[in-house]
Amino acid sequence: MSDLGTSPAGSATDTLTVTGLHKTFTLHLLGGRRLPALVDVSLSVAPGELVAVLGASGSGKSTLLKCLSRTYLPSGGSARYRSARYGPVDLVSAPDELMVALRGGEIAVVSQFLHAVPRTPADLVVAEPLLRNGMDRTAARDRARGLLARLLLPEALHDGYPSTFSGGERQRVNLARAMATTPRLLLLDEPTSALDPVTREAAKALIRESVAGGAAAIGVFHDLSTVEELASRALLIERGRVAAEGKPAEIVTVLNG
Amino acid sequence: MTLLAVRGLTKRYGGRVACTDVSFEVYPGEVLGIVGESGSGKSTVLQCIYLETMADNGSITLDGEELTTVDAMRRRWLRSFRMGMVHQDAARGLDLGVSAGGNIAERLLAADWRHAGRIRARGTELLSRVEVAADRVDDLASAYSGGMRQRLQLAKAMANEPPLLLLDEPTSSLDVHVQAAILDLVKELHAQTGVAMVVVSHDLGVIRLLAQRTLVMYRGRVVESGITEQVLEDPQDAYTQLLVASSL
Amino acid sequence: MSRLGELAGDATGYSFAFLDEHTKRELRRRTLKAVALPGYQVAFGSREMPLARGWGTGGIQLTLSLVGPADVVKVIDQGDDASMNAVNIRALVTKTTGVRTTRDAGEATLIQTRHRIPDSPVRPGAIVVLQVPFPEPLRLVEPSDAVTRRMHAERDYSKMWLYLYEDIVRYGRISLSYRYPCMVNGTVLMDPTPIPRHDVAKLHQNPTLYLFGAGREQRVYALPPYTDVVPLDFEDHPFQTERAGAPCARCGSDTSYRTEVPGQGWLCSDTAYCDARLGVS
Repeated sequence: MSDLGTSPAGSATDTLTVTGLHKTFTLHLLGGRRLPALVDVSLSVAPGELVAVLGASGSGKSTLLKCLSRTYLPSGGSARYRSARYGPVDLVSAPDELMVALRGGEIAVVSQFLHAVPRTPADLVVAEPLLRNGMDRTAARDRARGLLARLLLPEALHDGYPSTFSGGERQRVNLARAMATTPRLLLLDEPTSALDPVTREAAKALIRESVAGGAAAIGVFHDLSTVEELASRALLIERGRVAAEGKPAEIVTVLNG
Repeated sequence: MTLLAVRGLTKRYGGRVACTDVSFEVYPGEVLGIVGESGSGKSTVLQCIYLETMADNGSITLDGEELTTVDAMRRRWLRSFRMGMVHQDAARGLDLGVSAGGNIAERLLAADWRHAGRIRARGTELLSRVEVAADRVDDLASAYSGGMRQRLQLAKAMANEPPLLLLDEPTSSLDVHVQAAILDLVKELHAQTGVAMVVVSHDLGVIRLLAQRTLVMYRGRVVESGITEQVLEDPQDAYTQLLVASSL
Repeated sequence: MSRLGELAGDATGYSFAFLDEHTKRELRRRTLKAVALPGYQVAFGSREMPLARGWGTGGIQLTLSLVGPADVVKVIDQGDDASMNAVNIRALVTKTTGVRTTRDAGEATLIQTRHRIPDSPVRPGAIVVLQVPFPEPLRLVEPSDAVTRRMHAERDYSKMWLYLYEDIVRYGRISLSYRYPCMVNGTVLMDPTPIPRHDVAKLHQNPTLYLFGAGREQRVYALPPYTDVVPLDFEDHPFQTERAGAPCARCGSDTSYRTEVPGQGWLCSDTAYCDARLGVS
């Protein structure tokens, strides 16, 4: 189990190297109150690695993922991502349009909130990023439906509206959409929380396959057995700081103990 | 790579500042949202880009061409071929005394189309793309409902396939279910044609649905800019935080 | 003493051709500008004439500014030398100039006409002056002068094109019968006055100088010889001239512009042309 505070140097082949990331919220509506949410977070993820992020509720796990996807604007530090298309990119300071481009293909984001794009059938929701990248409509739709089928979404729902779906159904649509573009970096926030054991296995298989194919992933999972099955490393976050880092089984023990 | 670059755009009406020192870029194929309340200057920015209003200061370049200094003929050409505009009030973008097909035909005629049959066919095609039935092509625009008028504006604005579409509160005057249909249509048009858009709205829901990047304007200035999701979930500026918190 | 002087006696006071020399000079300058800008409407100070506005005061002012003692003048109205208006205008010209007049278009050096261009060929070097009721071709689609001025300046004729297009959509054809809009030199839209389509077709690359005078609206415009004059039309709805129901009942011509006269059938509108064909002068 490695000690923390020291920022891992991160090898040149790592997909993502985060150094000294911090985030403080300034609440102007409350007189400018400042809320530190992340302090000096450093980590690295290599291709083919899934790093699990564990911690108590409110510890900063989701904040970390959102800072990496720029859903939150980090206050400082760096997150160097090796883009296939654009070379090394610091996700903290990259121009907005570059982040939009990365999030449209190379970087997949699965949020813990089960947003549903309104009035759009599920297969089109999944296919949208493919269409935007220029894929032929039929091919995109076929790929979308294939992913939904792999996640065991009944075929009858493939052209249904996710806004009418259950939580588990929406979650699978969101995961399928994230995976559609064969992303290189996965930022997964509770991607299987609403799934029953069978569909969860299907989701895990998809994630495992993506990582095995070379994707780097950071995931927050509430189910610890999933952590032990999928992750090659784990981080423990406590009050915004990395409290421990090591093998999943070890960190789970720390968390429980 | 930039399609539209706005630098230091400033417009005053007498003593009142409508917008000041506004700068931003629009890239090919993207949707940029501009959100703000009334008096924020967001519509003024659009009017300056569309050359309906002459800015007092600043530069606007479209594909590298400086727009603030073009002559009247070039201005007309640009507004036909390089930019389309959808107004909140359809009466500003349409000739209500002319048929729907005629409204679209006017754009094609301005582009030197001279075959009546082909003009009509193209008009019908454009109308079908905005989901208006072919049998309504000869109806006067004044006979169209609010939602249909916005569809017609879209068809007209896209007639010569410009690379940039400007939408000024395109659905604000419409009933809610009609709004949804029009917004979905705008999304679909964007997906089909890859046209770049600037969408101005006071409604965060519209911005969330359509825009990938967003600017927030307050009292004539841009106070925040970022990925739409970030502006809505982690607004930095005090006014933006107030705006997001006030969303019903 | 001139014939005019004899007639006037003590009351000699009119210039040759009624207009004072300053007026003629202004009119000629305006006319030269118009000739230099084919199709473009040039403003001029329309003078008080001894006939009411709307009865050809523009045409008359042009004619009187151009006529000289050696000129031979023909005046027609709707093709007829004998119509009342033509007779009165011709009388004004002869009374104030003493010049010779003729019915023969091939002999005239100056022809003033309302709503027709003669069917017989005009003599080389002759000038044809048309009477214009409304000089602005865009008036049909735009009531404001400020706007039509801008439209001409920017060559923005889309509103007129739209009008014609809507005609086709509604009626299957362009329904305009007179004041048919034409593009001059590909740059200016012009109203050829209420001449029939048959005559509009003659204007393109015509060797004659045409002058257009509007007295009430105070504009003059011109078509110099060999100017491109193209009526607005569509590829699938080309400009068409009128087709008469039958050859002229009098002279048998099937190429002249004919109108149907109740009780007499189809007759040439250009009476001098018809007479010439019959060998009647």
